[in-house]
Amino acid sequence: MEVVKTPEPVGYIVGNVETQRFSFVTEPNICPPRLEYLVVRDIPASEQGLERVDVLAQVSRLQVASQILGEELTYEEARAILEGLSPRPKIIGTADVLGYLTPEGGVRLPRHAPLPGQPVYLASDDFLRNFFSKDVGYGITVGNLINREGVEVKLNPNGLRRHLAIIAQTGAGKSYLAGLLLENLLKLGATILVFDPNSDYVMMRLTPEGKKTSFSDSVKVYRVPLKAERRYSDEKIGGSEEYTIRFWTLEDEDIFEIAQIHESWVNIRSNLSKLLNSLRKRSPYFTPQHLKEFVEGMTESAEVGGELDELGEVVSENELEEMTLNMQRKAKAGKETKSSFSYEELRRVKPYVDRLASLEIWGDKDLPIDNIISPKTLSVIDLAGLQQRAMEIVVDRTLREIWEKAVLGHLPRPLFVFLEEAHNFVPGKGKPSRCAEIINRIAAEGRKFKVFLVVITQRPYKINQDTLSQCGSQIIMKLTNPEDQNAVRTASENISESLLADLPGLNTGEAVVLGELTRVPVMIKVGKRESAEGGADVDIIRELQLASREGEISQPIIQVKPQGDDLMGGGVL
Amino acid sequence: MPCFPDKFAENIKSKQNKLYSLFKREPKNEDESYLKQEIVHHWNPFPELPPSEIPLFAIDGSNACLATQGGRYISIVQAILQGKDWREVEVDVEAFRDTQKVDVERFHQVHRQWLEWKIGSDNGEKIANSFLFIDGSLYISPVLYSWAQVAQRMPEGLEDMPLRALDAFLSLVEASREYGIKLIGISKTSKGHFYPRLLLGKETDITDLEIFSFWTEGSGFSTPLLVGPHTIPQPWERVKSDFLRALPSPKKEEVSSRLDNLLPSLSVVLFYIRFEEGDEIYRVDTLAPSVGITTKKEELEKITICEPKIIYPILSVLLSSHGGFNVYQTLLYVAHNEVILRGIDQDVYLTLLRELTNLPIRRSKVDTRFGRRF
Repeated sequence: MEVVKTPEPVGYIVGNVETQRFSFVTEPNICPPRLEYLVVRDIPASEQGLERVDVLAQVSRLQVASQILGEELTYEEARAILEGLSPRPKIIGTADVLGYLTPEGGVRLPRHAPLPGQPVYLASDDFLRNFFSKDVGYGITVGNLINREGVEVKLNPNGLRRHLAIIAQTGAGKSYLAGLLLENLLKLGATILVFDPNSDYVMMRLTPEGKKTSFSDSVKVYRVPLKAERRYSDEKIGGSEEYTIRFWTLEDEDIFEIAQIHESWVNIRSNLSKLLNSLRKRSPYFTPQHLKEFVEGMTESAEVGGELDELGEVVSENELEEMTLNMQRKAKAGKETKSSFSYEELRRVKPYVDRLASLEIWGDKDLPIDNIISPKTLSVIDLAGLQQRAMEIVVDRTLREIWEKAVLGHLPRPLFVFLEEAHNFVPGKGKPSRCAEIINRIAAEGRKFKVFLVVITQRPYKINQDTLSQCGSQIIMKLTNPEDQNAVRTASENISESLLADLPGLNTGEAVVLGELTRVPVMIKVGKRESAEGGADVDIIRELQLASREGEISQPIIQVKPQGDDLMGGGVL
Repeated sequence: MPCFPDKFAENIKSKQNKLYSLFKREPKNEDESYLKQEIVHHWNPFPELPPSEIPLFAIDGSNACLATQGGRYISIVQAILQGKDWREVEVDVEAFRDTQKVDVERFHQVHRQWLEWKIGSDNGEKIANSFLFIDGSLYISPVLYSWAQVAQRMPEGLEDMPLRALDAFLSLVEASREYGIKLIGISKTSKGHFYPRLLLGKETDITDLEIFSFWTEGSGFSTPLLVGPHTIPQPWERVKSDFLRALPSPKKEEVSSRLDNLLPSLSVVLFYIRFEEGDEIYRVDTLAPSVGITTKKEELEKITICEPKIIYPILSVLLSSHGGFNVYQTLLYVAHNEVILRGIDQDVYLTLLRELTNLPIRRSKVDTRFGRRF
């Protein structure tokens, strides 16, 4: 195996050298770019210095200086100097030592530092392939090394045992990368569940050209029924299966949240609670439509409160009907009775009840957990169209059911759970979330029961730090917000300050992989996906052009006929 | 922090009048009043000139004198001949004992001057038909005069350094004649009194630099003067013999005769220039033959006013290669930045010296004080 790409060195080590870092001097025509991989040959590996190894390093910094073109120069002075003269800059590179590969497949740092004067070479593709992917035969291919298109990087699936966090700011390509991971995990036979709040993964059955993907039959998309038009219609995504939410299983707090009753509106909440309790006494199974009719009936009754107070235990439908008719008769007669609800109170509750009833998400079609955990299946739960609380309920219920199976040993195979926008489901800083508890339990104990989390977030600062720190591996893409960087620094034991400093400079589709997925932290360029991407950025220019054209077409054309002899001034509006 | 600035301000206050008269130089007597009045007639605005197409080169040198333990000095000199995208470099190292008689500073200066002139004369053929800028004066007589004073104070074994330097200078003059190289010296300091002598007909205390700095305004140049090698107040023959007598070298007879032969070529045309308002005054020297003047014998002791037009080719080169306030001449600027010996370079040289000689040479605290440079 060739170790070096070119026989000529690209620089020589200079200055003070550390075992983990060195500087080298180079020239403009051979200067390796930042993040390029270098080899320093024949470094003593052991303390005795008997074994000599080729050590891999990565260029972390380049400094270019000119003794002649100093900062004190004005524009005119610089121009005068440069007329016919090309001052040669001095380039000093800094490289971080990544280590050497042991025969057992581990990576170690040498115990000896290279010496000043030693040449540094470009590492060959073979050397890099061996270093990053040796013995990772059953690996997840996610792309190639930055600066080296020819060197694929395979991630070790065992690295997912301690969960994975995919972190990137909006637009950096995290959903695209997650989609690629999903594809390749699926191809390896994995069972995967995706909670998808933005319909980012609903197109996975199709290629960008609209053809079926090679794994199309293994992908199932589950959606709640919605009357409103979706971003990606069922037809466009190749069909979906319906799931609904059982209204009667919700707690009052859930219902308040879904109905959007602010927590400070205690009277409305209290009255709705009473109404719900009344309904629960009638039957364990009820829908928002039942609630609506119930409230409407009582609003019509003048004596609604008194009669309801008499309801001490579960009554039959016939009895309730008779009571209602009685109440209506009394109301018509204009008789006053003791009531728990005034007309005003019911009038104020009603809009929220109407809102609940207008949602199409209710029903009794549960997600088919047994199908979801079947082998080589990718189940995408499309949460788009649901309110945040409803999403949390879906996530909570699904994960609890799975967890129950897992704990009882009824989960036959590993399940990978991808959680998009994870900061909304396990928020930090004491913010409540219905599903945070089960997610954190899986984060803490899931690896024992074959449930592995992949949390995807654009705001690591806002996610629960315990959840984030439970992720033994991270794939981090462009991240510029200092608060988010701090969160990553706190949560990850693998990230160095120099890698953190690199994050803002990453381009779209470039990522740093850390933790157990790779032998050493590696910077990759994400590879091409087979499937189409949902949730891709909107092309604003194209949309504006279309809108502009539509605007022109819809503009009425007014033609005014000249009147009389006023030929000069007529016809202009 | 001790209150040094307060003390500084107090001190300045007590010396305000002295400083004012020093930095706002006004005529002190009738002669100077006359000079102030007359000098404006010798200050000319720049003419419109086409840019010069003649190749340019520049020489600059740099030196470091490292005091090492045991009273030993190491003088490191490096010189560069810089062209556009072309350069030659030279380095010379001398080590010597520090004794009471040695004038370290002056030796150092002569050492650097020798290498600068040498690199020019050694590469004459490569830079034929060009302008060659040199940082400093070309007028040799005062140099010889000052060297005569210090020739006795050169370090042991290096007594001939001034002679070597003179030898190199004469070779450069010969090369300039042979290869059509026009030498142009640019000095930022000058103690010459040529204009007062010319205008008053006698020696005065005020220098050319003071006259042009304080009593002229705006950009421009002075009327050029032809200055013979005998123009300094001391008799030329005495300066020369004093200088040669102080040197032990057997070559001095040969150098003396070369000096006599080259005398007409050693006449200098000089003028002062201010490139832009607010900038300082620079002195520009060129050898008389470079502007087409062959000095007659009777002119060797005289100062003669020249027609400004004779220096127009030089002005054209100076103006077209002027960069700005920080860069009075671009090639000299580049040469200066390339050749300068920084602290780190000195450390490299010292390390090399130790490794190549295997001698335990260490820097003296004379240089480093409490520092830890090795």
